[in-house]
Amino acid sequence: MKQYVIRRILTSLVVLLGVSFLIYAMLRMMPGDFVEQMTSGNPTVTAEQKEKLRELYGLNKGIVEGYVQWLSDALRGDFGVSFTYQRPVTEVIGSKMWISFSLAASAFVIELLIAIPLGIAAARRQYSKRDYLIMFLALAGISLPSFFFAAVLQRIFAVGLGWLPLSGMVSAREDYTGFRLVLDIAYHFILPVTVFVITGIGGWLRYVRTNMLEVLNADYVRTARAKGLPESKVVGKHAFRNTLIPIITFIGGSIPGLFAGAIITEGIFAIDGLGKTALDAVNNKDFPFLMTYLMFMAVLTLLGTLISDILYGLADPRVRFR
Amino acid sequence: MWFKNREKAPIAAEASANMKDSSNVLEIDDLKVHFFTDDGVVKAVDGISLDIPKNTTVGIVGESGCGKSVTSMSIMRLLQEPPASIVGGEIRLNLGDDALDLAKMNKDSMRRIRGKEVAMIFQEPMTSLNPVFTIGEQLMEGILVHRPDIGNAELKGKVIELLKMVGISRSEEIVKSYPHELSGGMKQRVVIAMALSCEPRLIIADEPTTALDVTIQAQVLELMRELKDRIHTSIMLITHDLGVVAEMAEMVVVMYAGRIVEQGTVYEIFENPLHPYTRGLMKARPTKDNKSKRLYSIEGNVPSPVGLPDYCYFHNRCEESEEDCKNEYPTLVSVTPTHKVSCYVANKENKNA
Repeated sequence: MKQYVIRRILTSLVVLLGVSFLIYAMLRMMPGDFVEQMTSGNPTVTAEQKEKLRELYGLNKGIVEGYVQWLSDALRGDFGVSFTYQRPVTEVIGSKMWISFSLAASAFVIELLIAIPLGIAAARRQYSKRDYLIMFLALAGISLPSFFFAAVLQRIFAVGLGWLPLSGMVSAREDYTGFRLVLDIAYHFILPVTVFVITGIGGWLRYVRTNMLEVLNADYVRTARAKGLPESKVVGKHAFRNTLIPIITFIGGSIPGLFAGAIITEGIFAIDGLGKTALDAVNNKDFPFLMTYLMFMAVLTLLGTLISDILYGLADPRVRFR
Repeated sequence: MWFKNREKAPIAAEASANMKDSSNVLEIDDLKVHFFTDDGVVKAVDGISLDIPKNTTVGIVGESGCGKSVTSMSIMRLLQEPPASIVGGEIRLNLGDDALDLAKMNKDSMRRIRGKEVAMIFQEPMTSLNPVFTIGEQLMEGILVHRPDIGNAELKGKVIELLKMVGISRSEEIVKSYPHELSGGMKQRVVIAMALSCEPRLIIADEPTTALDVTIQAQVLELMRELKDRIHTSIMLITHDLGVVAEMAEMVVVMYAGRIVEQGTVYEIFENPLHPYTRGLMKARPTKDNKSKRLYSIEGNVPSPVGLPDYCYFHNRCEESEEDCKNEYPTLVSVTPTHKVSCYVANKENKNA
């Protein structure tokens, strides 16, 4: 097991190296750069001045040369300074990451709490009215574009009824602290979390239902019934434990992704998380931030697959790592 | 919770029945099991009657799709209803003092019969054990569900004893292992131990040796025969292997397309097969004598169970069919008190003889 994890981490490092070069090259090939962006409104800036600025920001080197420079800095733990924030990139990501995580994680927990029982309920009565209703709702949730759904919710609950705040994370001009602050944030999170849950739950529902259906048709479920076990044990113990194997795997793999931020929803609700910051960074051509953010995403993805593989081994006694 | 927990209602009065003969453990009377599908009504089992006497092995033979498994699953009431439905007939189970009609049982009372009075051994030992629970756990819960007051020590002792009974030597170790750590033969022994755990009156074995290799097959059959006498149970043995039937069964029932075409004692069926289908099955067995020849097979397939003809279902595959065979489906006629056949040709021969 330990050996397996070490080997996986080592291969991940190789993958990251390749990924980092691709990201670097692609970002550098984007049309325009930070200097162009900054000076575009000012016709008096001369070409020499622009060149000076490029040198200052480290944008004057070629892709390969620049990449080698970036890599050697990164390996020493220096990911550069954000052009727009004028603070070390790692610091910026570190502070915004938790905002995104708290939003995504609360939605994630709610999704699972709803999707697992409903998915099982749908599977137990396949093709019944209950099943059709649950699957219809799941599909409706998947099909709703989050920007549209968010706007509708804002129109109804914030603008129309005035029950909930339109956007932001805390009430303006109120310096809440401690528990009051938490409550205030929770109040502001209601709408964005609803958007996350409704648009994200469908996938989980379908996943749980499909897995449960497969397991309910398995021979060992028939054996359990033949033993005379009550239906609650047949489904709740024999079937559920087997359904859990892929679900746990999937859940574990999704956890790192919760730090990545949601670009659209965070943007609409003006929540100062990683997703919104990343979007701003694209617009502003904030190269060091984007580079580090995308590398961070790559690390999270690799971490997710590693976690899901490890959990798979823990949940299923048949899996042994070599 | 989304489960309805109807607590222990007494076994429904409407399910009580009277045995025709108290020496039978199970009597199936004109059982009809139909599947209502989009393509029409599939008459998977259409009016079969058979008796299983106490401490006897009854073999049910026939090709795939003859309704053997549906019959067994109906006794256990494990068919998914709908689409399946028991549209007629009785399945009477002898409980000693009284008898029950399993066809009329509700779900909850049926649950208390399963495993306790009637147990089942399935075809596929590889998949019929739950991969994520230990052997011990799976054996224990089967006992615990029917004997909730059993003590922990007694339960553990019972499991070890069961495993020893089915010939698993390192039973203390096996209790803690998972199904995938066992060989196919071992798993089937565990499944048999599971079926025996509450000393049921009837064990239904649905092709218990089909998935095993030949040497293990013989061992498992030997084991089943030995255990049957040890706990005084009856076995309903479903198989398409006539060799297994000859070895194991005292009574034989031959099914074709959801009906019984011939039944009798094992001697009657093997010495004097009357139905052309039974004869065909006999001829299709590999024997020592005809090494060089190709193995005989009955032409054609079991007819589709949707829209069966109103004459003998075997007619278009039958090598001995005559004019009469286009008449209505032949009734089951007794040749001896135990031997019955449903065939015009066989009846005529019999009268002439």
